[in-house]
Order: sequence, then structure tokens, then C-alpha cells
Amino acid sequence: MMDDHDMTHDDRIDPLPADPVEVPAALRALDDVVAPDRLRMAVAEAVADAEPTSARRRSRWLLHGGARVVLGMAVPLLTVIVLAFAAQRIIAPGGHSSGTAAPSARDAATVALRQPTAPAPAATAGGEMLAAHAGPIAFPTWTRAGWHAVGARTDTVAGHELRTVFYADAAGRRIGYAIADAQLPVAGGQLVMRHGAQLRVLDRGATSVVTWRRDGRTCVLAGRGVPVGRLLTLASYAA
Amino acid sequence: MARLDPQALVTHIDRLYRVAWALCGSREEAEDLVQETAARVLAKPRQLRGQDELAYLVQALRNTFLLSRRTASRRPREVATLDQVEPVDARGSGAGGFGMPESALAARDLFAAIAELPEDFRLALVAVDVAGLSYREAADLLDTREATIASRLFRARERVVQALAPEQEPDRGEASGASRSLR
Repeated sequence: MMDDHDMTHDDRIDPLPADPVEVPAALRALDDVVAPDRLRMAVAEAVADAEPTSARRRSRWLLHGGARVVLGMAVPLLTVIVLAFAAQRIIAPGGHSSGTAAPSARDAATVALRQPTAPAPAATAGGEMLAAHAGPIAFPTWTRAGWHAVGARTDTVAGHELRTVFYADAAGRRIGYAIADAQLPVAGGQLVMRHGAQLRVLDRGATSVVTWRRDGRTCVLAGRGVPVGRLLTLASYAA
Repeated sequence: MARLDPQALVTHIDRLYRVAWALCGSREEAEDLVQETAARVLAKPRQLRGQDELAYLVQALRNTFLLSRRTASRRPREVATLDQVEPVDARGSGAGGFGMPESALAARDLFAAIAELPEDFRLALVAVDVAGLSYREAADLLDTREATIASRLFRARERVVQALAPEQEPDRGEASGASRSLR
């Protein structure tokens, strides 16, 4: 069985160069060394996220000089519309949770820092996963990392289901691992790579939040008083 | 001035991965480097300034690599030790026990040898022999002359061959010592 890193050719032995003039040919022979699927997918996803087609068209249009004139008139009007929309959102009954806009990863982190409302899920037979999952993603036990599940909760935030499992360590520190049923917008933060996983650190200091995407969902790991490095390590294996 | 099409990252992903592997000497670090480069490139629109897309992306990869090396040398690692965690899925290839075909072993050995080269030699070799840039493009990328690229390339190839040479026979130990003294 070839792993994710293996080459597409497995029956040809490329000799190592024995003379400097053979080095280019030896390296050309490795042209069918391809990127792992997870890297290919991560980059493709990042490209898709970075510049939606409509935004690309708009930015090209704005490069033209004529657009500046229209822009000069449009900006004040747009500002009024945005302010009016914002005001309507603020006074809407139910506020944030009743709106139709998608929650953000920061909203998910807020939930992950709340109290559990259900008992901890049991571990499955293998002992590495819990009998709890969000879509295709099962929650891990993380017992060998020094954490054990202590509770769970399920929330609906702006129409999106958010499943959270809470873990505690021997020192009594608690973290929440929340998985949303959709890809939530993430603003700001610092992009961090850990073992091939693309993670984003949203906060530092007393509250640490790490978020990533997997299987079309947004995962958030959050904890107070827990070093962000611990969360990054756990997240890199869950991502 | 032409703008970089973000899709170029997808188009050239395999070549970027090989370049990153040769720079880092490790597949895992190569993945991280490509992803970090992609994130930096995608952060804002990019102008090509006369370069072709591949040359631009190789330059971005090289800059990210150098930056990450400098940053890493100044910053203590903040992650917990890996043996504290249990992998929760089968995402990795294990701790070196993967069953790689011979060609993968050749790639690993070649890229590891390249990664051990002095920086100037490594960058020249990676730009020309791995990325496939012309001497002119490599000279632009590394801000030097084509003649310098040619010289570095020759010496880099020589060192790669030396590094990959099998163990010397005992009666050829003198020659081995002589070759090492070149480094």
C-alpha cells in the first residue's frame, strides 16, 4: 500500500548520479514525484477561498481609471446602506443567533468555552475515539495526551449545528473541541503549519483558540490558561 | 503589468513540492513550506514584474524558506512533544517505517543531499535543476550573474555526487579524505 507521499512510479529504479553531469538527469527522473493529496487539496482550497470570482472581477474593474469617478459617488451611498443594515441587525429580535448570517469561527470558540450540558461520550472499542462525531469527523479521546473527555453540548448557532466535546487535564484545565457543520468565516489570526496541517491561531494570552478546516467543516479548539502550543499539537493530529 | 493568477499555485504544486523538499530535505517540512508559501502569496494580489508564474512562485517559496529558517533560529518551539499525543487518524506515514519504493528512496537521498549543501549552492541547484528555471531566471531570482549561477551549479552538482557516493573501500581512504577536504 502506498502512502500519501509515495510516488506514482514504483517499478523503476532511478540510479543516483555518480558524476556531476548526471545530476540534472537524475533530478529530471524525479519529475513524477507529486505532491501529497492532502497538500494538493489544502492549496486548492486556499486558492478557492482567497479570491472568489466576483471579487476578482471587481478588483480588475477598479483598476480602470473610469471606475474611480463612480467610486467617488458610490462610497457615501454604500456607507449609508451598510450603516442602515448594521442598525437593523442590532435591533433585530433575537440578535445574532436568530439571524441568517453564518456564525464565525470566533462564535464557535465562544461556545467551546462554555459549560457542558451533557455527559462525556464514552470511548469506542479501540480506545482512541469517542462515540461522538460531527458528520464524518469523530471526536478523539486524547487520553494519551493527558486529556480526558468531561462533557459535551450541541448548539445551533445561526442555523448551523455546533457539536462540542470538552476535555480536562490533570491540572483541572478544560478545553473545548467544537465542530461546525459548515465552513465558517475566519477573520484575522495567525496562520501556523504543524505537520502538514494548516491551522490558524485566533487568540493568544489567557484564551487560546486554534481553528482549522476538515471535510468541509470548521473545527475549533479553545481553552483558557492552556498554552497555545498544546492546542496546536492536539489540533495538528485532529486536522 | 501582469498579475499572478492564484490558480498557478495549483498548476505548479508538484514542482513547488519538489523544490520545497530539496530546500528542506524533509517531505513533512516541504508540505509546511508549500502551504505557508501559498498562504503568503494569496494574502494579496501579486504582480509578476516580467517573471513567469513559476519563477515568481519559486522566488516566493525561497523567500518563505529563508524567512522561516531565520525565524525558527530565533524562536523556541512552543509545541508540546509529539510523544505526548496519540495520532487520531491515519494521516501520517509513521515514524520512518514507511515502505517507500526505490524511486522514493532515490528522491529522499537526492533531496537530502541537496538540502545539506551550502545555501548559495543549494539555491542555484534547486532553481535550475529542480525548478527548471533558466540560468537567466535563476540569476534574477538569486540576484547574481549567470556566470556565478553556472559556477555554483557546477560545484553544487559535484558536492551532491560526493555526498551520494557509497562508502569508500579501505584502500581508497586517502581519496575519501581528499574529497572531504574540499567541503
